[in-house]
Amino acid sequence: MGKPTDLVQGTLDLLILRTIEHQPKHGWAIAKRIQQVSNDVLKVQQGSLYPALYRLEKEGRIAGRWAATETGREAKFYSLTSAGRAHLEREVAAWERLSGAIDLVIQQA
Amino acid sequence: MPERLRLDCLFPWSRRRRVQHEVRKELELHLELETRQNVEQGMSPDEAARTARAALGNVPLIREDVGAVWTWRWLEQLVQDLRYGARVLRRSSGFAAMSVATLALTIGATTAIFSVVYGVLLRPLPVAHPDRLFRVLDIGYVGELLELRDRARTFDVSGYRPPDDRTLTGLGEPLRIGVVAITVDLPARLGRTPALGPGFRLDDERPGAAPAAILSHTLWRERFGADPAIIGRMLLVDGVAHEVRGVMPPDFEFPTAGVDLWVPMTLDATSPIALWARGAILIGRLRPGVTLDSATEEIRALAPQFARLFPWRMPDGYGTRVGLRTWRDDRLGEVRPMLLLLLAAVAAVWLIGAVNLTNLQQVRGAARQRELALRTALGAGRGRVVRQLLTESVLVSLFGGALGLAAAYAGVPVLVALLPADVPGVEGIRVDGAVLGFTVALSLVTALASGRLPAARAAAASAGAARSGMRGSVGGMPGRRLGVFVAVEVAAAVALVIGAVLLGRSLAVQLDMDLGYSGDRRVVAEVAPSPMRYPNDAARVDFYAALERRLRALPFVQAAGLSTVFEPFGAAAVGGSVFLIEGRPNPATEGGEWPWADLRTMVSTDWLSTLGVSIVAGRPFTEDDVRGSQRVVLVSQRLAETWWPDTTAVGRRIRFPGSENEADPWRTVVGVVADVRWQGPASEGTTLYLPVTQHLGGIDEMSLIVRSSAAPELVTGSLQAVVASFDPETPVSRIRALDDVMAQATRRPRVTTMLVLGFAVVGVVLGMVGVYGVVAYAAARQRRDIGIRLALGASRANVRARFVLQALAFAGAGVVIGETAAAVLMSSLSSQLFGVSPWDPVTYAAVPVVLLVLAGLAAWLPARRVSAVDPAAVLRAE
Repeated sequence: MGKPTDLVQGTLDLLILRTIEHQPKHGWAIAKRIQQVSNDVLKVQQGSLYPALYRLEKEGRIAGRWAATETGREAKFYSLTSAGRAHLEREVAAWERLSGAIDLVIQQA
Repeated sequence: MPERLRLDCLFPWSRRRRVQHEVRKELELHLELETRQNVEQGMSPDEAARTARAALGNVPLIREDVGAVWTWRWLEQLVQDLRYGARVLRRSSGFAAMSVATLALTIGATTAIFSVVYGVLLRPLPVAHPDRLFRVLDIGYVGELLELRDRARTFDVSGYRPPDDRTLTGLGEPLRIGVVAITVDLPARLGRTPALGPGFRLDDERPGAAPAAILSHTLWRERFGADPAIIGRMLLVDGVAHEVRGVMPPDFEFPTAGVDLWVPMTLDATSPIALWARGAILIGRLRPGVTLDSATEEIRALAPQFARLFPWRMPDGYGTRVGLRTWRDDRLGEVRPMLLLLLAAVAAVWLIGAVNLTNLQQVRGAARQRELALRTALGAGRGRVVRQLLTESVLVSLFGGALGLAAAYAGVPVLVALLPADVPGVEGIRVDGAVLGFTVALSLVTALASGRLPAARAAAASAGAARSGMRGSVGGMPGRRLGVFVAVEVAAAVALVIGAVLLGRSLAVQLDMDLGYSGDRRVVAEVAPSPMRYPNDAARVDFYAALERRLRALPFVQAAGLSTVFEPFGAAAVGGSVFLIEGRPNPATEGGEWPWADLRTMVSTDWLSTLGVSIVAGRPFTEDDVRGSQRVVLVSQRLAETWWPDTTAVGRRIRFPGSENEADPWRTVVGVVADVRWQGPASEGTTLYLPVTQHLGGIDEMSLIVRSSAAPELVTGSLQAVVASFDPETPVSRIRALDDVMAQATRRPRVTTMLVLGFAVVGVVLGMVGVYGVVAYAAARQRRDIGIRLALGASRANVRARFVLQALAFAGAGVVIGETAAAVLMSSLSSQLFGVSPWDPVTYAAVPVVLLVLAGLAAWLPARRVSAVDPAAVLRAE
């Protein structure tokens, strides 16, 4: 049961924040959404997802609220806080810089 | 919501529980949605649920990880670990008992020694800013005190005279109390004021001022019932009324414990004798912003100028060696190296104990590999396993530490009773908060030091074992780490034993030394005839003569004699003297070296023979050496050899400076006395003896010595009665068997040696048990290898030799380290050694041999056992 490393965990934060940027989602939906959007490349381990969610919530970057799903089940919907939004912007910028740099190296080195 | 948050802060447990609940609900939902998706993708409901659960993973671990976000998990796990640890330890009671016993022993010993070190070296001194207080070394006359008061710019100086016993009367039986004369500004210099009363006034030190006194808290409490009305009352000290000016606080001890009264020192600037013949101990305090170095510089410039102020010529170079020493250093003197030595010894014992514990933990870790592997397989994180193991070792350590503390608590009073009474602050030694803190810290350090390594190893091994299907592969060579264990144990044991042997040999030299007199069946006491009844030297001389006669008339008394207060080995009440030799240039007027005797003492006719000191040449004092007859003097052999190297001293004449105006100042040397080490084995002084009948010099207290055919106890009992029948006003104090007094001189080395020897024995036993344990562990790990080797034809002797030689190789490294440590330590503490070099080659050659033999034996035992394995059995077990 390998756990994600820190590097992946940092990336996971970014993915979670982006996924709920426009619409609050519950845990399962976040995992499915990431998997779906990434064409099944990124499979979020539940063992990483929930600890990450609770950590982000404690850090004040997302807020959880219990509400009914379309099927009537109680679920905890996570939405972005303003701090989370700022964090997301920073993280996206940092990621783009990093991935751009890696692209350059891969293509030109 | 804000209220809720605040509540969460107050009751983190409620939040924790809420989070747990939420996570469970979320995970349930997750499972449900996953299952539904699986069904939608065409799985059977059963299969869908199973797949969903598998995808979800380790639910409890997720819940813990989520909980870890909320800081309380560690506490919850701690409780769990503690409970589990206690259960495990109860089950493996052999291991627990061994560990706890090692810990109790090492921590107990370390705590006991630490409490002494703390009480003596580290406890705050009862003066303000002790680091800015210093003692002036090498000069010390009242005149110099006054000069320094006027002229010094970098410090302020006060003074006192050495403690003196005086008689307090008017409170029932006469009481001898320790009295110190101080300059009136001394309490302020120390930063202390009386707890009660105004204290001394500035003019109390002027000649002719009414006598005043300040009491110690102890005297005030025990003799005056802590009566606040004591201030202004009159006390009779040596028959003189002193007005009580104050009571010092309970913690005030100056200069040492046991002083009960302080009186002002009279400073008569008009009397050259009072200024330049009376000594004082000078205590200074640095002015703000001044360092000890700059103060030293100033006094170095000032002191040589004082030589000219004396009414007589001082020896050349007087005052040039003046120095300052912080009060703390001055007070601790020889005690610090002794305590450091003990601390080093006990630290070595602790180190051996800690290594043994580490090995024990390691052995246990190996034995528990399957359990740990199972726990890892069941989902315990690696960190979690390490923590569990550490918790266990902390549990063992704290338990052992508690036992050790109890042992120290019981042992410290014994230790304090053993310590020489001249150790400053000895009465303040106890197991208190600071010592308790030390013990707890030491226990935890021991736990972490001994538990961390094996825990990490065990956890790593168990992870490996889990992967390789529960069969731990534990082959391989004995690790270098095990060798390091052996080296450390041997090093510490070698250092301990070398220290103990050097101290023991030094003690033997001291005990064997012929001091030049015998303490056998001799009793000493101090007698101070009341100054009212015996106001002058003549009256006192008559009193002493009559007392001697009365004592000699007792049936069991064989001889009796008196001398000016002679405290063997104490040095406090004895003083040296310069003198002039007839026919030689007078250094006072013509320059040159001053003849000097380290001790000048006034003795009665029979005193030397009572002590068993022999006369080497000439004659002893006789009944005819009285006032008015030829003035005579005896000199010690060394003094005679120094000043009359080529001829006999008998018949030569000497005199003392300041006697120019006397009718006949010259004293004839009538005999040479065998050398006596008055101040203990290390003292090699020169001595001048004057007959008390010709010269008493205003001394009002003498030391009485009685040689008897009866047991000392009988004499001590009757002495007091005899003196009382003679004169009830005359107190007899410090009645002791001379043997006991002499034993006091070697008490410090005896105690140090005994303790270090004890530590060395414990260290060697623990160390060898440790070597045995390490080799046994290595052997157990290699059982399979050895089985294979034997099967392939290796001889059992070969297998044994390999283990023993390997252990000896590491032990040899340990010997080098241990000898180096011992050499460094003992040479820096060489003041504790007497008559033996800190690098004594015999000791350094013999001790390692003994320890290597022991280590070889300790390694051979487990090696023999493992070499006896049946290869077939080992291989079949595979």
